[in-house]
Amino acid sequence: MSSIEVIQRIIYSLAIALLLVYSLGLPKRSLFFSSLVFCLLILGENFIPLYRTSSLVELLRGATGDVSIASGALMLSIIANQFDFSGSRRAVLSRYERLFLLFIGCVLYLSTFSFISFDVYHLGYLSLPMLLLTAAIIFILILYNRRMGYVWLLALLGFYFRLQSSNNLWDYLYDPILWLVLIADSILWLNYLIIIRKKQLKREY
Amino acid sequence: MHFQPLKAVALVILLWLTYVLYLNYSQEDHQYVRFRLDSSSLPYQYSPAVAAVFESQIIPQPAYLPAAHSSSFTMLPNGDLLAFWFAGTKEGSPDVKIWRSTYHNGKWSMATALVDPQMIAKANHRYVIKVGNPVIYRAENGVLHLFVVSVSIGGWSGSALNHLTSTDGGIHWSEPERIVISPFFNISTLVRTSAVTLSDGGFYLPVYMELGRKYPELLRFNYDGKFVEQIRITAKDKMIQPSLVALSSEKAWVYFRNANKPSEVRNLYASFSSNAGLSWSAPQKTNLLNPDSSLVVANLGSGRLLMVYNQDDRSQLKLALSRDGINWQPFYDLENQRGKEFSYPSIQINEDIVDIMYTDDRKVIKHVRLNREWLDRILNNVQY
Repeated sequence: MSSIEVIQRIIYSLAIALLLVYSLGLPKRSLFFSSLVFCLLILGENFIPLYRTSSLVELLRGATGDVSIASGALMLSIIANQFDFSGSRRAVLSRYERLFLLFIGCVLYLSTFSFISFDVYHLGYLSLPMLLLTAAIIFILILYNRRMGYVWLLALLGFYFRLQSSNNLWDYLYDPILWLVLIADSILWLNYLIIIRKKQLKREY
Repeated sequence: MHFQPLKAVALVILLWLTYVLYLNYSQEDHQYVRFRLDSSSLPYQYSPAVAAVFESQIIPQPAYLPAAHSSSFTMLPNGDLLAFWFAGTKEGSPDVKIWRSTYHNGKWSMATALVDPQMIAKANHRYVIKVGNPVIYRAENGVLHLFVVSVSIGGWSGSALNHLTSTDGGIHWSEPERIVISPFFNISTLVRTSAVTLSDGGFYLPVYMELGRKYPELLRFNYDGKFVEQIRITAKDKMIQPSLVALSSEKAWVYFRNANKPSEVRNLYASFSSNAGLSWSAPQKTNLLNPDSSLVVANLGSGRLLMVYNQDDRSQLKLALSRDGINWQPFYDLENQRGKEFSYPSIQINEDIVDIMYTDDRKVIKHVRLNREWLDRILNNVQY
């Protein structure tokens, strides 16, 4: 198994196990028990054949392809954030960053589906404008101490060392799972805004 | 803003990375891409034929295989042909495998299986349910490249592209490697038509996307057979299975299968490039129609292009000739039988010999070999 496969397997295994452990609310009950379940899940999702000799991780990877380094780093950053008990905990991505990423995803995937005739994905084959623009965005984000800057810097490092099987920078910076999560997040946020607005209107009348 | 060591280190890494990536970018020759027209990769030389040759054969395959489709072939250095196609219970079944056969001393060997879904699943550590559309290409350095589509979920629009190589003429093959081409779950890339050689020893592989809108692309591979980049030919919808034919080192035509509904007028479209495929004209109509069926075009030389295609439906498989790439003159029916299907042609021209392969009624693969003498006689008869 290549190092690329190992990295992807680790990201997928962690993501599935964490999702299951957190969705069952286990960490609130017992840290030891949730850690044990977490380890068992990691083993099970990799080695128990579920369908036609494929494990859960293999089934999911077949359907979704590889996760970007940026998504993997964001996921780890969100997990690390859960252990920040300093009282000054803030969201990994600000609302503006989420909207920015959502917009990028819309442009990239609309172009991929050929609803935009310009091929945005092609820029990722190390074109000079793409490289300079990405570097400038990372520079500004790091300057303002935003975690997204460090996440994209990791993605750029991954691209340089070819830590994924793609030679397109977009595949290191972005993936459709992140885009779908951001769409869901934006819908929830809009719903929240609508509820707040309704409450305000009720108060006014 | 306060000075922070982590921030400083990150900014230094960023500047270094940008610089080294810029150096990588500037070292790559992004614009110098040219087609290679001569058959220098094929040292085998035919002696000029005197008599007209037209012969056909069915490629033998095990009797338990009821369905076969989508063949592709290449010529080996000794003049043998190596063909691949998919066969099984029916298209898209999990039991469908990629089969191969060799044409040696005028006879095809009994087909043997090479690739199946389990093999790709094992190599790529992911679930695969079906395989299809193999395309074989022999590179200038002698390496054989086999491309196979695989599907993990859904129909063909969920396809990914797998790449196998052989350095010993097809005896041993590498493990399938999944090529990342699409940013959306890396799905919906299909291949059907053969690759075209570039002057640097690399090649263009025509592919097409089928998720949402359907459009054609070229994948560029370098001399080492590594995927470099993809080039979108057009964003026009329903243009699939591009057949690329080089006219000179810089000029080329590409022809598309028109995947529009039968209720619409389905013209055969073509795009032209004058910079070796880096950019393409908007698709323009030819004088032919296309019944949502795969076609191939080859360069006969002397300004003549040869097309193998279906005209009204898949019961007729025809040959047509053109001098300008837009106006085509049909001149011979390779097949014409109501109720049967003759489709998915492949073509190779090596010196005097023209080899054509296609699906015969979705059951077997048929090979037709003809020579230029035969072509000239037919063309004289139709006074082209």
